Amino acid sequence: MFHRLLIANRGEIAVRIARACRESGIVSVALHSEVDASALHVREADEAIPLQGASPAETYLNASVILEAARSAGCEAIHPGYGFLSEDAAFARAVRAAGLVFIGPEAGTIQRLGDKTRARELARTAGIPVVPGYAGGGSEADFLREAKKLGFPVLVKAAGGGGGRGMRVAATPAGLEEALHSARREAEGAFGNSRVFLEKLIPSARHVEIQVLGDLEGRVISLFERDCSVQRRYQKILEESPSPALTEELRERMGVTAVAVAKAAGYSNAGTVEFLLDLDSGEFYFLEMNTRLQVEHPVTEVLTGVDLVAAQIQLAVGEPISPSWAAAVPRGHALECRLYAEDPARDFAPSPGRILRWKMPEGPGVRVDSGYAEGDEVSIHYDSLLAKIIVSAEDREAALRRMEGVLRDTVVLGPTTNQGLLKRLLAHPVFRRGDATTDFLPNHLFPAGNVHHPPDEVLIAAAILAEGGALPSGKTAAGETGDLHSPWRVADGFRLSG
Amino acid sequence: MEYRFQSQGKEYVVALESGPEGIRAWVDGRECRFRLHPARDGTLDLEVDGRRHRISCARDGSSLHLACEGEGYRLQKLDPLSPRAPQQHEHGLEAPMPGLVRRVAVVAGETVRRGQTLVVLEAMKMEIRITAPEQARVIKLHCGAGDQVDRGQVLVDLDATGGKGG
Repeated sequence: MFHRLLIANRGEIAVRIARACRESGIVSVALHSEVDASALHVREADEAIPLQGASPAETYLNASVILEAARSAGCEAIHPGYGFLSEDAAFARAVRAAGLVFIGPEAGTIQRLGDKTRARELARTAGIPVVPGYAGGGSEADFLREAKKLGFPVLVKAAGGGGGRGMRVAATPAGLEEALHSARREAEGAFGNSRVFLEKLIPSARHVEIQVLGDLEGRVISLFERDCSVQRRYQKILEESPSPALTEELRERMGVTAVAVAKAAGYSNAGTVEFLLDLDSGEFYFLEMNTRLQVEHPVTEVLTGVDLVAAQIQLAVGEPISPSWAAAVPRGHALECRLYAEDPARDFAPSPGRILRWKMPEGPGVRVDSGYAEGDEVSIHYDSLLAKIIVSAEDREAALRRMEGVLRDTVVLGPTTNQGLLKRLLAHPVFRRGDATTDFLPNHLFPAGNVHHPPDEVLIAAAILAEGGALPSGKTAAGETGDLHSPWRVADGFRLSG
Repeated sequence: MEYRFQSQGKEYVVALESGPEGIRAWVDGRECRFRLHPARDGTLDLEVDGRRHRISCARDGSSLHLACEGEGYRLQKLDPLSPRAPQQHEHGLEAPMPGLVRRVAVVAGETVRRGQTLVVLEAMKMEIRITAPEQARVIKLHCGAGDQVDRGQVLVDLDATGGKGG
């Protein structure tokens, strides 16, 4: 086992990895950009190395600078987290060429699965159904002909990456050209690869993914599913397990299929096989395999008790699949909500800024993974995930009630968040019944559900705040202190100053 | 004392008045009975019509941030003397979010059609296009590629009359 690990990431996942290192007796070394100098992931790690600049390209995406940092800090391993360089085959290759341990699968595997059209081909060769599609590569006329064959609407997807970027719906033949054009432009910007392909759009579908673990001996196990059907703009906002859409038989079949995909790809370490479950036909199709830790990995952790980050570290140094992982069984129900700094009322526009007040929930069956604390600045340079709130309980209904309770108890002031949308989502009868499909959010909660007007008590509180002229405590970033007329200084109610 | 707030495009008037029975509040002319209970953890413990609410508050300039029962609100305190709410820069287009200017797609003097992209902003891995609300002439550009801008900052001045037939 190695003794020093470099965390090539930021935010909540870097905090998560630093904690896993602490438990494993490994010294964690963080990296940080100029704007992240006092970020939580830096405070949580044992050591930190500053990088020049603020943009991802200069810092967390800068492979050569990161490798040099690892060398100078005497690190023997690099954990890439998710996003940034986690699925960059060239980076994985360079890390290993430098004699370091890369926490993830082989570079060749990352490359094969990172090209979505090659991954589809790999699955099909292994006898696994994929969504009907067209691999692309031809002229605009070829795309149009193939799209007509598939039947509209079709999905234009980037071959070079995921996360909802470089993805467009073409509803009609007339809209295909524009969809191809804008998907290519976005894919070029996001992944440096403008290649796109087509998939038939399956309207009534659920997004179900299987967590797998593989060792260097070629043994692969599955750790059950996560249902990620609730999405906005193809970005997940809520995940749960077990999936309300699966029967025991389907769950079994999906797990076996995911293991087959991973084996066909020669997969090692933690990975996720994504499927689309067509509710009309009852069939599921391979979508892609993510060759890294997922954002929503805590759902599986609280459901099975397996520490996936610790498992990644053990697998990376050649330890075999542990008998306790293979024997893991799901217990109860787990649910994760992603709290984003974005404004659902303004088409999910990012809402960066200073966190003026921050209160995360706690209590039995509650876990919060976050990279922020009160007073921190949410920067324009990085993604808008503020926190993941994960709950578990004995069954789905109890988990939903627990999540509703903790969301009422969560406070983020400063950046606008999607917290209210999450609350209304949890209360929605379609979601409540377990019937939410991937088109649920746009169809049921847009746009009316996004605008929420202040009730009387909030307006009165605002007037009291305006009247008192002071903040309740001196610890907020605005730097104001209470005065004698402040309502918080008066023991019993407050007096008007006028 | 009377206060005016704006939130999500709506305006509210809240009046507080001290009387023999304590403080009374009127929200848009409706009287609301309330009591303020002592709280020392930076929240307001407010009882309105018999129901108690814990409200977290913070202030950032004239913006009031409040949260109640898991719902966040941003209220803009309006100047009681101004006859109406502050409007957008008269002919200017403002940044809807803080971000980086990725691209300026027009030059001063150019006539733009409705919906044409003027400026591309980027924040938190998302691109937002600032488009012309109507046909107009670009009077002045207040930003360049690579600039960091704040929410509400004017990016482009447009003259809607200058675009006609131009």
